[in-house]
Amino acid sequence: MADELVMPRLSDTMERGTVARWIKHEGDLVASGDVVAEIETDKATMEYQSDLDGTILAILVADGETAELGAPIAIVGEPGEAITPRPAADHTSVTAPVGASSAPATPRVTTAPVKASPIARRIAEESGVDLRELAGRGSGPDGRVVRTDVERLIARAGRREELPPPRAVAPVAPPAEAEVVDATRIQTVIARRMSEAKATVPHFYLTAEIDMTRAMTTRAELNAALAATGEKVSVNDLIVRACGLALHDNRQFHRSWIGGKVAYHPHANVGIAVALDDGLIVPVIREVERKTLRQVASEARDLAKRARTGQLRQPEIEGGTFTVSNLGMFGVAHFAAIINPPEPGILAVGATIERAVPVAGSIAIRPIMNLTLSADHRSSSGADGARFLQSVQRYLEAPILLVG
Amino acid sequence: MADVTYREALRLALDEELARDPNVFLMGEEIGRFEGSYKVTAGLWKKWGPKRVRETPISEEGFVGAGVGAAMLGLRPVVEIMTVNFILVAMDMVVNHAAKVSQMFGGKVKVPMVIRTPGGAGAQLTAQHSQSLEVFFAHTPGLKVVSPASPADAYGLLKSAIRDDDPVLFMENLVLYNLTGPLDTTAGDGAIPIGVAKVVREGGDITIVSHSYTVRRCLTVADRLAQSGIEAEVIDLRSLRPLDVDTVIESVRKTSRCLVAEEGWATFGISAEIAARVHRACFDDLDAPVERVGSAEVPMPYAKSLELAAMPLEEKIEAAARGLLAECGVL
Amino acid sequence: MVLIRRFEERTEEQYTRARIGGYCHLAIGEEAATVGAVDPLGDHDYLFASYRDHGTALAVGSDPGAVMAELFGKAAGVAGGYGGSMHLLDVERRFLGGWGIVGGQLPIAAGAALALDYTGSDGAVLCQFGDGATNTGAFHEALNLAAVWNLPIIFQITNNLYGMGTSVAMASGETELWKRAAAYEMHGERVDGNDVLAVHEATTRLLTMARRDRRPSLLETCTYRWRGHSVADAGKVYRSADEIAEWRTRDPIARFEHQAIEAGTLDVGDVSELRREVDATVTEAIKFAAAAATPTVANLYDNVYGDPGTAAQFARMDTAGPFGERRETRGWRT
Repeated sequence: MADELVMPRLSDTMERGTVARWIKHEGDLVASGDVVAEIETDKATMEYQSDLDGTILAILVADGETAELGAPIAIVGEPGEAITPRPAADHTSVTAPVGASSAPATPRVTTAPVKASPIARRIAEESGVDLRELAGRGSGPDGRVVRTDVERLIARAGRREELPPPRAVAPVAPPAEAEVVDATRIQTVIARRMSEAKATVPHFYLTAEIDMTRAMTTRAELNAALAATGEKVSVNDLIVRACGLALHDNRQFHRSWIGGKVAYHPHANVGIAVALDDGLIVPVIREVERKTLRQVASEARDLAKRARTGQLRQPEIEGGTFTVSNLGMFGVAHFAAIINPPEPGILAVGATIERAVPVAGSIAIRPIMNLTLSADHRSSSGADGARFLQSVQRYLEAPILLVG
Repeated sequence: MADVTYREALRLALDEELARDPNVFLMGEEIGRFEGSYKVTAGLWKKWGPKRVRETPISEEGFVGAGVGAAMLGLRPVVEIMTVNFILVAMDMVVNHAAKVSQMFGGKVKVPMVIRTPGGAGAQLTAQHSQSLEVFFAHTPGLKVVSPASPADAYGLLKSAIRDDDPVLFMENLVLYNLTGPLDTTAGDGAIPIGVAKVVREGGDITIVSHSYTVRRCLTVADRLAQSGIEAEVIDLRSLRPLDVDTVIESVRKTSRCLVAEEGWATFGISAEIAARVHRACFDDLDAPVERVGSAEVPMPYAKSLELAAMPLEEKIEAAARGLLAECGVL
Repeated sequence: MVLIRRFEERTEEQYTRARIGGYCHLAIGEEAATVGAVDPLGDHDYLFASYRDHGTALAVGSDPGAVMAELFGKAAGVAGGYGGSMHLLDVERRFLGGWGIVGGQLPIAAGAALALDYTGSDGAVLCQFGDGATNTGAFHEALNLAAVWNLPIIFQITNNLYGMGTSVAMASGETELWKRAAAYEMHGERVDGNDVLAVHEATTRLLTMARRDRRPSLLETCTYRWRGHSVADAGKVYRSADEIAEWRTRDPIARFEHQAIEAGTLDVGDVSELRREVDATVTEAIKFAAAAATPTVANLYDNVYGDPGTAAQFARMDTAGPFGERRETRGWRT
């Protein structure tokens, strides 16, 4: 249920306040207690902490604008949720043009000027191409429409006159009934980086089945022993630790292809993919090979928690040399993930599922987990990847090594 | 057409100019008996004697000033500063005096002087001996600055510089001296006009602008890009002041992408100047902002690993080119 | 000397009336040191000076009207209005400039001497500068080069006791500045700079030494500037009224007048006639300068380069230039 952040009373004599600047923006996750904005009162500039949890769906009073106490200044709720805020105009005073202060209550359909390079604009103009067809979907940074985009469009338009229009190839216009919203910054970044990664990194994939019997036992024993401390070790922590050690053991895999050179990583900095309500973030546990399983577990829990509340600092999401992505909790048996360049690979972890497997000549029921490694074929060969995956398997099937 | 080194090309031009005009003389530290710190003047002292090839004390301010005075009286001194780093103690003579004389005295005296000096990095010479300071002079009205990248250009531009009636800073690069290239001394006297850039490789996908040794690096990068199906146009500025902007602009209008690489620091650098002019002249032609590559903005460290990391080597230039092309949806 | 004195007095007045801009360094009191050294120069000798150069220009014979026009920033000035007070010159009379950076002209003058030596000329160079310049690196480099290359040059220190407001005693380890020549095995000597005949005699002798023996020298002429460092400096905070008054009693002009009348070469009538002539000359110079045309802005870029081919070279630089002088216009597309 969407709710409003209102202009807070931050001093005893305050009658209205000005948003000095928003620290959180539309699309950002906020948790109660997070500083979302700085508000100028009659006395000072103060931080404004949210008293709501959720995603900022709309900002109603922009930076530099003023509103009466209690007037809504932002809407917080679940992404995609329909929102009908009270009109902000009642409360906002006109220190900025009215058009600007009555910020859109519902997310807008793109009407902003199309971001395009000057030459793209010129060619489009000269060829009578409507750049809006390409708005936000160009090949340049943040979807900037560049020369090749326009040239392709023109080439396609030329072909269209001769051939029956292939619908699928025609410029993708959103279906009329779709609700179109601006992509959030994080969505834009993910879109760009993933497209780049898939297009430029030659992926290869290796899958292994891991018998998790002993890992599960070890984990249960460990958690029982740690019960008093409140610490807990997850399956994922075991995998992260196993990857850390395996990366350290396999120098030939643990290296990146960067600008025509090969960079060997001295430490295993393992990222853990954390799903957000609408997006994804990958905090990094540093020097995993040097940390105990308990350290890994406690760091992972802290990072994941703060990832979900948007409290990660920039250094905590940088410098990864490998990523673990786990969709096991959704019951996914196995999947293949996209590498986060310039990391050498990413490990996709499926669910641990009880399966009938042959053990010493008879059939036994064992918890089996599928691991799929996506690796960059520029920095490693198939055998390099296989040796690494074998190491991971060895550690998980002899989990005493993870604790040691 | 014989292949000669850059050093030999310079020596040949000096020798021919000494023979052509009795007012031409050389002056500098260790250019006589010692044959030049980098052996550019080897043999010339023996051939021309101490009057035409004058050895100086370590006294840059003194002998650059003496060059100005001798030039004001009509001689054509060619002053060698052992490396560009040492010119800093003579900056007063170059910037406050040589560059000012003609205009400050109402056009009644000229300073037909050449200052030859090598810059550049890459030999672990460290912070005080690894600089590319062309921009100091290219910034200054009253001076002319040339920085040839090939033996033929070194030969031709040195001749023009010596015959020019204004103070010309002739910027060489330590790494260039041993580099070879064709030199045709049979057709004319080989003088190359100051202020004209040269397209050293043609291509339609991206314009790469540079000068001095960096041109070589850019050509290597162009070859690598060609393996990815990208045809780069490489422009050697050759002269920095006057600057031939037209050649750059013509190219960028064709390619719509521009990368400028230099061995100096890019901040307030040659590349800054090129970028500003390209953005103004080619705004409607650009597919992405002009990209720049320069040395890391640190004094040059000694350790080889650090030195390599600080220099604008092929990898950096290539990465910048590829980044720019990626920004344009190419590659 | 009388012309210099009157010219400087009227220059001060014109500066106060804001007809002269910039810095303006007067040489009142130093006339003998200037004239005594310049007068012996011959047809092949060259002269360099510091920025206190009005007297030098007049001493060498430059037209007072053209000198005043330069101070006024007029096209008819000796440097076309591009140089101003500090950068007078007269190429025909081989006066190669007043120079604005303390000590900067010394290496250049050494270079001129080198050129004379190179071309086998029998000329020599006189390079004038103040006591302040003797503490710059350029002073030592120039003297050393002149010594090791046996250049025909006289370095003349016009020691007026102060570099701006800093006394020689405060600025120099060796206050007898002529002794610095010893460091270069160079001849050095000191004369009374307010005695024009003594300066004349010494310079003549040293010129012969330079021309004939190829020996450079350092000549210290001790004098005093009656005014401040520049017109903007009253010259009173760093020296006492008594000191100034004391030096005024040693007026080089009065002294020479006395010497000449004693010797019978001038009589009192000649002197008053000379003063009248000088007054008229300077008034005429001011009239000329005031009436002269200011340089046209169209000529702003003139003379920055001397080479005839330069215009073509720079034409290529104008495209998208920083000031867009000849910026190409693409025209608006509709």
